[in-house]
This record gives sequence, structure tokens and C-alpha cells, in this order.
Amino acid sequence: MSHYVSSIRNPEVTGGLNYHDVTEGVLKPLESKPNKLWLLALTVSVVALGIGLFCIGYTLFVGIGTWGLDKTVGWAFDITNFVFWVGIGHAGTLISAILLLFRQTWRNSINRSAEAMTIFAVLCAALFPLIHMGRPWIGAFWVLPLPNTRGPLWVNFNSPLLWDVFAITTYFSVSLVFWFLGLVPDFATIRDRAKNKIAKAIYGSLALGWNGSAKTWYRFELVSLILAGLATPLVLSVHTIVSFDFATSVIPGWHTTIFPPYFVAGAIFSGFGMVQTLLIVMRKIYKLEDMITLGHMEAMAKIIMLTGSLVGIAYGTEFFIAWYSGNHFEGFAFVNRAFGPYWWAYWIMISCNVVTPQLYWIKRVRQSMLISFILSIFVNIGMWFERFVIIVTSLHRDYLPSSWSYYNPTWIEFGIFLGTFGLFFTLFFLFAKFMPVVNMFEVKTLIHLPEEEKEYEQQPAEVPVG
Amino acid sequence: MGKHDTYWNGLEQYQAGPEFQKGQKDEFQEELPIEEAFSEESLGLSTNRRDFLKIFGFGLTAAALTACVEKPIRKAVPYVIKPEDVTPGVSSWYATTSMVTNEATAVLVKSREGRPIKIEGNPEHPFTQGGVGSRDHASVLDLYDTTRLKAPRGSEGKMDWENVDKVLGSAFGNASRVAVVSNTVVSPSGRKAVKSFLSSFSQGDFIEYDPVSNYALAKAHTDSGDMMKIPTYKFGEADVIVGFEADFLGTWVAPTEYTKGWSKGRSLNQDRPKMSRHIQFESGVTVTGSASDLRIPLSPSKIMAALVTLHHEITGSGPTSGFEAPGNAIKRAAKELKKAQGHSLVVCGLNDVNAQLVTKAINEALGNYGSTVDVDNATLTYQGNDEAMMAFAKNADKYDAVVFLNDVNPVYDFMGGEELKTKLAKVKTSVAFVTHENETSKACNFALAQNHYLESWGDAQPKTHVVNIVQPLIRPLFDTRQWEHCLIKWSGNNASYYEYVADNWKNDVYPQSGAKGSFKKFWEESVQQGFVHVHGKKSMVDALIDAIEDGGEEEEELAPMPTSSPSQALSALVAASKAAKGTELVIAQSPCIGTGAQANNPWLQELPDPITKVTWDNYVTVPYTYAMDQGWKDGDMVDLSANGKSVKLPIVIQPGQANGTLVITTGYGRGEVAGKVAANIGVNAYPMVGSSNGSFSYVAMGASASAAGENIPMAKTQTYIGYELDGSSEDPGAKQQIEDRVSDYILKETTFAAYKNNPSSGNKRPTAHHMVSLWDIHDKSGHHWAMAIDLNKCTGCGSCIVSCNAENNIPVVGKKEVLGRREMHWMRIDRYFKGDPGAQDGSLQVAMQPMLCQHCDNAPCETVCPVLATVHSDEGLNQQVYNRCIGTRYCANNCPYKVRRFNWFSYYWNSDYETVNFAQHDKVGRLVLNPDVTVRARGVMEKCSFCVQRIQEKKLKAKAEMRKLKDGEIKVACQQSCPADAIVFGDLNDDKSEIHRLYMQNQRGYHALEDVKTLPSVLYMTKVRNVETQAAHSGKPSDHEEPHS
Repeated sequence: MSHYVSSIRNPEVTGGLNYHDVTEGVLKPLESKPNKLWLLALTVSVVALGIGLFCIGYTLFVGIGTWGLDKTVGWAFDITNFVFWVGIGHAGTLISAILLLFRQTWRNSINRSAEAMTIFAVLCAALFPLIHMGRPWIGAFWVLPLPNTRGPLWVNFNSPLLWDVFAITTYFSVSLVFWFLGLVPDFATIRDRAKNKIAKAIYGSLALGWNGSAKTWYRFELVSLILAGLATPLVLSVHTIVSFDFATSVIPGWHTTIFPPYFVAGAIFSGFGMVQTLLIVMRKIYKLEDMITLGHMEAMAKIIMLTGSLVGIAYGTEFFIAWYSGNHFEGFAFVNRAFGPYWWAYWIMISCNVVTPQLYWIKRVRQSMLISFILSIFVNIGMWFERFVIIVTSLHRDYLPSSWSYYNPTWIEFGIFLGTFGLFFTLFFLFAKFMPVVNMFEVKTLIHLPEEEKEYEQQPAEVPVG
Repeated sequence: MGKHDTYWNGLEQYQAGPEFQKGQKDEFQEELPIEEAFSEESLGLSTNRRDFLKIFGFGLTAAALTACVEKPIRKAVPYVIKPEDVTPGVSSWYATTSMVTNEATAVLVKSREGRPIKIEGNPEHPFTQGGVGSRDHASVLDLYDTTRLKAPRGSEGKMDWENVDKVLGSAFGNASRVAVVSNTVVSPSGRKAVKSFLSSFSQGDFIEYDPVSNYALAKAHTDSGDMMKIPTYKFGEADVIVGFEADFLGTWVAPTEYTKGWSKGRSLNQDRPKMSRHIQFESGVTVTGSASDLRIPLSPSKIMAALVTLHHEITGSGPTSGFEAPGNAIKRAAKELKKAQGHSLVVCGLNDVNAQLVTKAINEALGNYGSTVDVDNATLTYQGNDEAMMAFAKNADKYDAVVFLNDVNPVYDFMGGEELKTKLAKVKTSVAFVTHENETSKACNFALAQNHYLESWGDAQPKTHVVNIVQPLIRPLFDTRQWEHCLIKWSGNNASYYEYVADNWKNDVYPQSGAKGSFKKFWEESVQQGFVHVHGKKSMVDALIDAIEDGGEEEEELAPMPTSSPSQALSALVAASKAAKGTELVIAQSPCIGTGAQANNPWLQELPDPITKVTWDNYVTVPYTYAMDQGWKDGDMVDLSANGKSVKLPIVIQPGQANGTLVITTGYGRGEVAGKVAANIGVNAYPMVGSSNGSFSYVAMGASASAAGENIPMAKTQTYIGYELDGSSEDPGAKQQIEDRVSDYILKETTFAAYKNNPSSGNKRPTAHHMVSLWDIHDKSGHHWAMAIDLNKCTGCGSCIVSCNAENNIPVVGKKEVLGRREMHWMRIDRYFKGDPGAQDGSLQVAMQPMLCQHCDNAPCETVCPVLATVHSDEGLNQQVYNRCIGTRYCANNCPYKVRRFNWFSYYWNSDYETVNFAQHDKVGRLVLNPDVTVRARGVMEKCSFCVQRIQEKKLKAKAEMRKLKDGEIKVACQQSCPADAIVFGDLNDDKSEIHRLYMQNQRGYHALEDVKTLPSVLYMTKVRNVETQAAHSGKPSDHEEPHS
């Protein structure tokens, strides 16, 4: 990886850390006993997960009727949560794949946790297509094109839901492999430092016999690039396909061609929102401020501002086209969105997604971690409501006024939603304890030791590193 | 005994040695080896304690184990000798008569493996012509209701019939004053049985009583004779129909028959356009008013005044009330009526003899008697005598014995029910024949379990010249008897009731029918056909009764009928109208539950009211403006008081209701008595009924409603009506937008004038470029099933909904789930309002649209299912494969018509639905299920299948007979039941079929939401209102389009 040193650019690792400081800093929580704060956080997460599991179990035993859905609104919390979590996953892949290809080295310190977040978010997301089915016990495998003895029964390749199955599984597997591969050199570091046999054995096996030779590094870089190349289209395709669930339907408010880019922008927006939420907390608790610097947080804030504005334009375009098309149903659907019974959801969405991110124009806001944290939470809320607005407000008043209804969620649905947060944070806290949350070897490439600085002064040309 | 006195048997005896003498004493002369035989060794009982315990233990275990083995219960027993007329898997049909409503509708009942499962209309019957009401449909479920009274009950509990006969036999033997109270006994044989039972007592009174009575109407048309007569109204032959508070398409007298007739007048022929004109004056909104061309909301007192005005306008004489409805509606109606003299019709639903006499005078002045009003072949289905009932209620305690027949339930549905109950307690012998225990039977000493009509023999005479057969479809399920059987038995006739009926038919019906051939042949043919025509001058009942009277003592004739002359009636009406003050409470029959006898029927409880769309409750409807002034919302509880009675119930705001009125429906408030389903639903409206001029008055003047502070949610199947009903009216632009949407894309309407100029008027079709498709057209080379629905005929009565429920095993989900908008009906009727909800000038219009799966050729549901659980058949059906469905609900989301229904719960297993869905829960209830249709599992989607099981049945039949299917051979359930014949079903590929003709030639045809290009297989035909070309509410009188004769 090449590195260009410019006096204008801020350093990506601050505090004069050296290689050893990075290793020590990142592995300190991993190699020390769990602290009380971590245990508390994990407990809370596990409790939330337990509530979710209970609610899922109850749903499976009694039926989807335990949710607030009706004959008119067939999807609500379930698919809202699905799209919400899939969207959150997007930042990870974007950071790890696209920013890698674009040689954005500032990503090096945040890509690990962003990728982990992706994996966990996609796990949460994948739960919903499963449990939202009336009969998941058969649906779970009937949606797969498996050879079978049931005669000519086969899946329906016209159905966007089937495309979802492929999109999500592909995305999940590529993300998982990519993430794991990136962990291998760091696992090797842990293995080498491990003091007890069990840890050595576990991390040793996870390190896949990494020996740090130049050949290994070369192959590693090559595979990383290939996977980045594979993952890049997925960043665009997954949410595009998810948006097809709606765009290919005939329901006014769903049936719009703008959905694919709009959904992708929204997904990156929400993903960065979640990454920011997590990192602001993590860098503080794990004292990683020198690796995950203010510069990182600012960069993410800018992306949030950009994508927030993009979705804002998308909202405006939808409205314009709804009016401009002259289509009665389309026009009504959008007016109803903003001024109908679910107006509150719409305006929560607009304020959290379009209005508040504009505060990031102000540098002091970008640099204030407290305000950034609040704004990132707003982004999460706003993007959840965006999916809710799209799904519920389009369905609840579609073509025939005779069937219009109003959807109210039940506590079971809230419980399941809470459960996915429980799952997400349980996995994330376990990750934070047992795996290096910052990509050590990549961060190290950003460190310039005093000797190197001298070399640069002597030879102010580009120097390949690593 | 001497030695030689007897013969000796042998030398030993003769010698009688000591050896012999000893042996003589014992029976067995040799030593018996008793000791040896019963010794332990020979019995194998040489067991010690341990062995004993072993054997004992083994035996006990073996016995226990054998007892534990669940022996398979073989329910399906193959026939050893197959009965001639039962083929497993093949249904047979029997003609009978539905006895759950007064109408006595001739029906055909489908029987599978010996159990009746579906009621359909008898298409041969001259009056109902295949139409059936929703309550008739639902009655098959009453049969399998396990909360029925299963055996006779005395005051000490369960009895057997022998005991009943004995106890009651002696009780009646000692009685001299006996009353038999029944709702209308429309059966000639039943009447005869009652009369012969009563003839043995010194005073035997027969009181007929209908909770929702038409006594005044009958009284105005009956001068003598034993039976009261209501003229037969021929709505089909009337060019101008004016209705005053008569819900003749919904609840009044014979709605099924009237709907048949009315719809004939609404049938449009492009080449020779002709259509009846229907003006309705009514207080509440009914299906009749909604279906009319002009509906003027008027309170009952104003309706009385309007009758007088109309009478004056038509006859040019008589007093006038000086009243005129908005927009000079009465004058205009009079003008139109006069133009159509002799082929017009005025009907009035007020149970007030003066109003009926004036209506009669109007019809007479118009020359309608003999043409559209037929008194010769009169309707005999309302025999309830309000005066007799009121007199009985006053003196009930003076009888020695009172017998209530046929579920009559005056303690519940008579205005003085509570009082009657206390009086009944003093009657020595009180007997009630009931299918379910009810309020009256609870107040009686004996509740005798009677047969359901599907278990009964009998006859019915709905018209002077038509007698129907009632034949059983199944042996009595429980230990029940027909009341007729008991009555003839108690009068000393030991014949079975079947023999009794057959005997009556032999002696009375057969000679009158003019049939040739033997009686046996006549009887068999009659039973097969379900009815016969009789041509006697007198009604058959009169003849039958005469036969008894000749032998018995002199019966008193009915009191001389008309109490006043038309002129007296007119001034009485004016006076009554002027005397009216305050709010008028109208007590109307519920179009769903009816009088309340079928309250325990979940199909009916879940059938939405055609106008308010409320299920599982009763309520008082309040005019829109009044509710807005009071700041009331739907579901607000009010204290309603009228006629000195007060109840607390929720309100429903009713657009289009006459100001100054409140409307409440009957049939609710049955409490715990009626069964689990009906328990604690609604309140009883009957105590608020009053009386005037000798008949029950279903209008209470000076009623009041005051807010009681609570709000309970109303379980409606359709909630949005274009504006919010909570007073915080939405943007008026939105209301206009919705009305435009409905009329442009969903429910298209035109006027008759515009239709005559251009049959496709109002039918704006999308332009061709909207109709480009990227999809391949499905190949349908064989059949192509399609449906057409004539919106001009549909009244929205809801009969099709119940028919569909019964045919397709649709679960009932109960109030909570309906509130959650999860009713499962495959067929629904969408109701749309248009105009100002508070309008009193007739500008508010109501329109109905049956909505079911449209079986789209470009079905949005089919493309989105990930597992191909919903697919297109090569016959144009959109098929739902329950086994394959995984329940993603994507299809339902993507359905523009929202006709797909999801099984949110396991309705047949989940105990929450045990009560409301007993048709799928308990063993007896399940007998009603159609074996041709799967009961759907939890988590799968379902929807209308176009009755694919019926299509398949007829296809197979045609195939077996090596012939082509005939057009009209397949009748889907909704189509068959429709009393208005609004639904046509058939094969589009058969170019001689009716459906093909409608699709190709009818310019009124359109598809709902055509712009979405789903290419539905359901064609709607525009609703045509025969209205003035200018807006009716402008108040400018302008001639409407007269029908061309």
C-alpha cells in the first residue's frame, strides 16, 4: 500500500504512537479481565435478546396474529426492521471494500468494527424474512431452489423476495469472509502474545498458520483486493434488490423507479449513522482516540451530511414526480404520507434524515462528540422511520378506500425489535472483548516513526510502505 | 308309604337293604368326590404367597396395559349395503323450505354423506326464484349448534319424552283455559294441528305474534277470513316505486321476493332502455334507500305527513298536511306516479293502520290494485296479531296452560316482556317449544326441545296459491321432537307428523292442485319440487280450518278489520304528525341478526351491517349533523331513553340519516340465555317498542340520547368513509379526491338519461397506451372463467357473504379480530358515500360494490410469491395453493383490491376462537363444513377461488356424460344466492354464453382499477341512477327521465 505524505493532511494516527503502542492499546481489553462496565453492558444486551427470543417463540407458537398487522397492512415492523438492519450493514462493506479500492487510508482504523457491525446487522436483518412468514418451518427451505422430489415445484424467479434471499445470503457470506480474512494477521499477533494455552490454541487456529512472510503478505493483499472487488457491487446491489421488493409492486408509494439509488444512499446514510454511534462510545471507553481520531469522526460526519442530503433530494423528487405524473393514486399516496394519519412518522423521518444532518456543515458540531452522538442516534431513528413510512403509509391507504386501515404495533413486535438490538449488541460486545476492534496491522501502516520522517526529509519522494 | 303301594324300580328297592336305605336319602347315591374336586391340587391352587403376588401383579399390569391401549375409533364406517341415494363424495339436493324467517323461502339443501351443509334458493319457485336471504343461508349452522336444547326439560331438569307426554297429558286434561302462542305459523298442517289441539279445551286461544310485526299492513287488507293477507307487491312490474320507511329490499315483509322483482325493473337492455324509478323516503339509511334513485331522509312523523300530501297530490281531494319534502320531492313523486298510473307502486313500512290505509288509498287511486298489487294471491307470511298479543300479555296469568311454539320468545321481544314473565310464573303449566333455551322458555315450567326445520316434516303456505314442502334432511341430532308432532299426539292422534302432513295434502292440497295422476305420484313430485300451486278460491289454510270448525265449536272470526275510513285515516295521520315532538327513535329490524332468534349464529353476527359495516354489536345511529353538534364520535356511549325505558349503548354516526331521528336495531341484548356466541352482545331494543292504533309502534316519539362518557370501539369491516367522523373533518379536498377516485376508477356511475344517449356514459376507460403489457398473454384455449356483476342490481344485502362463508368453510373470527381488521370474508361489499353527510335533501348517495378476488390475468399477487403458491390456471383462475403457501403476505400487500385473507391464527384449533368459530371447533359444529374445501391452516393466505370445487364438479359431470358444459350449469355460491341476480358467471370462451355476451356487447362493463392493468376476470357494470339530469339537491324541479314502456 502506498502512502503519500503531505504536510497539509492531518496525521491519521495521533499522539505519537508507535507500533507497540498500537498493539498494546488495541489488545488491552482483550488480554485483561472483563471489566464491570462490559459485563453490565453484555448483561443488558443478553436480557434484551432474551425478550426478543421469547417474543419470537410466542409468535411461532401462536401465530403472526400476535402482531398488529391486518388484511390491508401485511408488512410493518417486520420488514421495516429488516430493511433497517440491512441498511445499517452497508457502511461496513462500503468502508472495507469501496474505500479500500479508493485507497482511503483513514478507513484503516474503523473498518474492523464497521465490518463486524455489518455482519451482526445482516444477522439481525436475516431474522425478519424468516419469522415474518406464516409458516417459517417450511418456508425457510422452500424459498431455496433446492432439487426436490415434490414434482415440478420450484421457486419463483419473478419474485423480488427470492432475489432478496440470494442478495442477502451472498452479501452475508462475502462480508463474513472479508471480515475474517482481515482478522487473520491480527489473530496471529494475538496468538504470538497469548500467555495461556487455550487462547494460543484458539487464536492459533483462527490465524490459519499465519507466518508473516512476505509471500503471505503478498497473497493476503491480493485476496483482499479481489474480495473488495467482489464486495463493491454488493454494496450497490443488496439494497437495490431490497428496494425491488417495493419498486416492482403495484402499490402507489412503492411503485417508483427512484427506489434503487434512493435506498442505497439511505443505506449508506444509516450505516454511517450506526458506525458513528458505536465508535463514539467505543473510542471513549477503549481509549482509542489516537487511532480513531477526530479526523475520522469528521470524515464520517461529512458522509452522513452528504447522504442525508441525497435522501432529502430523493424525498423531494418523489413528491415532485407524484405530482408531475398526474397519477391520481401516486399523488394521493404522497400527500397522505405527509398529511395523512401517519404524518408524525413522516415528519420524524424528514427532521431526522434531512434537517438535523445539515448541522454537520458546522465544524464545531462535527468535532463535538456529544452532538455527533445525538445526531447519529437521530439518523438511526430517522432511517427506521423512513422504512416504516414507505411500508406502512403506502399500504394502509392504497387503491380501494373501503380497505383502508390504520396499523398499530403490539408489544410482541416491539419485543422482537428490541431483541434484535439485544442480538446485535450481544454479538458486538463479545466481538469487542474477544477480537481486536481496530485493525492493528493496517493502522500500523499509517504510523510514521521518527526515523522514517528523517528518510522522508532526505528523499521527499513517494515511498512504498508495506 | 307302604311297601307295596308303589311300583318298585328294582330289586334293591324292593329288598330295601340298609345300603339302599342310606342311599335313598341322598340325591346322588354314590359318594361324590367333592373334597377331591375342590382340593388345592386339582384346582391348581397350590400357590404360595409369592406366586400369588406374581400372578396378581401380572394380571393387574396386563389389565392396566390393555386398558391403556387406545383403540382406534373407526369413524368412517363403510356401507355394507350402500343406500340408494347416498354416494360418498357426491352431494345430493333436497327441496325444502327455510323456516327461520317469516318469508318461508323455498330452498334446496345440499346434503353430503347424509348431512345438510348448504342452503340455496329453489330456482323453480315462482316468487323467490332461487333467491335466499342471509339468515336462511346461516340457518344450516343453527342445526349444528351444540348449545341447542338437546332434550326436553321440566322444572326439575331433564326429562324424557314419555314422561313429558304423561305429565303434560294430565296437565292439559285438567286445563280448561289454554293459550297457544306462536310466531306466524305459515304451515297449513301446523295451523290445523294447533286448532285441533285447542279444540278440546273450553277456551283455547291461538295467538300469533311477530316481534317485528306487519299487522297494520295486513289489517288494512283483510276484511274477513281466518288468515290475514298482505298483498303481493310486484316490484318488477312497477315503473315508479315510492317507498315510505319500507325497507323492502332488506327486512320488510318478503325482501327476497321483492329484491327479485325490484332487480328485474333495474335490469337494463341496451337496445330497449327501460328502467324503473325508485324514490325512497326513510329515516335511517337502509339498503333500499341506498339502492333507490332518490332517497329523501324524513323522520317517521314527517313520513306520515308526506303520505297525506302525496294522497292529496294524487287524488286531488282529501286533507293536506301542508308538508313538503326538500326539493318538492313529494309533488314530483306524485307527478311521476300519476304518469305511471296502473304500473306504479307505493309501499309504506310504518306499522300504523292509518298510514297503511292511506297507502292503500293512494295505490287504489293510482289503479295499482290488480296490476302491481295483487290481493288475490296474497302473502300469508305475517299472521302476527298485535292486538291479540297485547290482550294475551295482559291476561296471561288467567290461563291454566300456555304453550309457546316454534322459538317464539315474547319475554325477550315483546315490549312488555318483563311483565309477561312475572305473569307466566303464575300460570300452572307453561310450555315452550324451543331449539335453544330462550328468555321465554326459561320463564316456563317446561322447555321442550324441538327439531330444527332441517330435521322436520311440514308444509308452508307463503302465498294464497303456493304451498311449499318442508322435508327433513337429517334425523334429529338430539332428543328432540317437532312441536306439531306433540300437539297432534296430545290431541289424541297417534299418527306421525309425516303421515299427518301427507294426509292433509291428500285431502286438501291434492284436489286443489289440479294434478293428474295418483296422489302418490303427486306427493313424490311435490316433495321433489318443494312446492305446488293451488288454485282454490280460499286459501288452503282456510279450507283446512273450516274442516275442523265444521266438526268443532264455532270459532270467533277475526275482529272486523279496517278501523277507520281513508278520510279518517288521513286526518288521524295529520294529527299524529303534528303531535310528534322531540327526537323520534326508530326501532328497525337488524338486516343481519333479524329479530334475534338467530343471535347465536356467528355467521350472522360477523355479517357486517350493509350500511354501517358494524359487526358483533348493536348501536344507535345518529344523524351526522346532530353528532357533530354534540361533538360525538363513533362508539361514544349514550344513555338512550324512549317510552319510559332506558338503555346504554354506543352510537354510530350515520351520514344521510334524517335529522331528528335515532335508529336502533333489534335482535341484540340476548344476554347469556341465547348461547355463548350471542352472550352479552348489544342491548335489547324491544322494550322501547310502543303501541298505537292497536298495533306495535316501532317509532318512539320524544326519545333522548345523552352522552354517557365512555367510548367503545365499533368493529367495522370498513372504516374509512371519505371524511373523519370525529368532527375534526379532514381537508375537504381529500373527500372530493376520494369521491373522484371512487367514481373514476372503482365504482362507476351514470344517470339513466345519459345512458340512453350513450350506453357507455360514466364508463371512462383508460386510453390504449395505458394498456400496453410486457407480459405474455396466458394461453386459455379451454375454458376462461369470468364473472360479471351488475352494480345496478346489487342492493348490498349481504346474502352472498354468508353463502360464501358456508360454501368455503370461512372461519369466523369474532369482534376483537374484526376490530383488528382481520375478518376472513372472501366476498365483501364495499359501501361508498357521496355528497354532504349531513344533507337532508337527498344529495347524499350510497353505492354498493361486491368485491372479491378479481382473478386477474396479470395478477400482481402471482409474480411476487417466492414459492409459486399462487398461480394462474389455464382456465383463467388465480389459484391459491394452501399447501405450498409459506405466508409471506407479499401477495396480499400487492393486491390492489385487498381481497386476500391471511390466517393470522389457527382458527380451528386456537381456543380463543372456540366460541365464535364453533363451526370448525366442536365435533357437531364441524358437520357443517364443506368436505370439498380445505379448512386452512395457520399462516397461509386464502381468497376467493371462484368456487373452483363447483367448477370441477360440473366439469367432471359433463365429462362423465360425454358432453360439453352448458352455460349456466356452474353457479358459484355468491351468484346462486343473489336475490337480485346481480352476478353472472360463465365461460368467456363459449361465445354463446351470457358472460361472453356481457363482456363483448355491454357498454356498461368495466374493470375496477383498470389503469393498473391487472386484467381482471370480474366485470362490473356501471350503476345507473334514474335521476334528474340536473343535480337533485339544487332544488329545481326538473323532469326525470321517464321509463319507456
